[in-house]
Amino acid sequence: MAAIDRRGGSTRCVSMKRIALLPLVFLAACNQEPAAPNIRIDDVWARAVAPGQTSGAAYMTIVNDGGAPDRLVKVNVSLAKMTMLHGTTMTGDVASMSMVDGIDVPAGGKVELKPGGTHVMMTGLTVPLSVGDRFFVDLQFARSGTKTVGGKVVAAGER
Amino acid sequence: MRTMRLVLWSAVAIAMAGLAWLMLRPAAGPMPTIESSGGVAIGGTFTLTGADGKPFASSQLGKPAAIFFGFTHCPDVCPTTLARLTKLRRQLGKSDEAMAIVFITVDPERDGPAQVGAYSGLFGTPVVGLTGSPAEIDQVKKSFGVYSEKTPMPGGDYGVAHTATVFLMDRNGAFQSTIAAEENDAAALAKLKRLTA
Repeated sequence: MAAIDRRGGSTRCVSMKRIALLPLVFLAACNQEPAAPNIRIDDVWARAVAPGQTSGAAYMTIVNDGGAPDRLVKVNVSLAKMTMLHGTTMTGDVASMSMVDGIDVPAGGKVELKPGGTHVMMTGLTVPLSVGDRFFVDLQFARSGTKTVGGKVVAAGER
Repeated sequence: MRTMRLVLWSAVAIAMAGLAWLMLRPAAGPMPTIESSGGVAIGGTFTLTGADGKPFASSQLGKPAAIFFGFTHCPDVCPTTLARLTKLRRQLGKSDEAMAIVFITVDPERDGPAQVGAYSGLFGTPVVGLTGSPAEIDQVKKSFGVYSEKTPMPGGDYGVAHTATVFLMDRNGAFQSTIAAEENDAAALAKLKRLTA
């Protein structure tokens, strides 16, 4: 017929578009997950220790690429009878070590465990750490669960 | 009151004059040398035990020395400091003979000659490891003004809080200066250059 009700047609089309778009809107809403941490561990290393030396320290960089903070709450190295998080503290010119409860890793940030600062303290090493050895560290995070990473042993004078 | 103002201003004038006198008077005698509070020079000759179990007299060093006190169960500060000293010695551009790096244990109960020897040998470059009886170690600590104290750790182990300063002794065994733990590499290297000049 001559008179095509364009208005009616267009209205119907718009309605169709709206209906078609609705699922997409729901999908988009569903994909808005709450922000979460995204932990990555880089550059895990320890210095070689002397034969018979039962204490050692491991260092690493913990990166959080996610949108929420996390906290490292526990560390374990199976080679050591006891593993702790330690910090080196200077009081005047006196150096001492103290236990560290945990380490917060901010969203979009990183934490460096490095010489002279916070480190993974290993005591009662059941095998001496020798240059070239690999070792494994279990890192337990409050939100991200446990991550196991491999580290390597370098010569004491190297880093 | 006018009298009050006069008195107060007079007091100010007297104080200023006194200050000026203190600052401008000629120095009495030679400049003071760096000394420990006891009025005794820092460091001095000592005889301890070397990694070979034999007596080691400080006079055997025969060259400028950087002396660091630590303990072999120390996983962070001690190897970090010794590694830094070996790195800086390399950066001096002279041979390892230009300067001795000396590690003296503050934990003689656990660190015998074998332990200090093995520890010193980790760095791939000469480090002199020294130990001794608790009494001998105490004496050397005292002469350097070094503090150390056992700190208990869970599991029955212990750490040792200790002075982390590096003492720089000239080729005659006399104290020259120190490198503090927090001093950066550039400052430390400058001191070592002066020590080995």
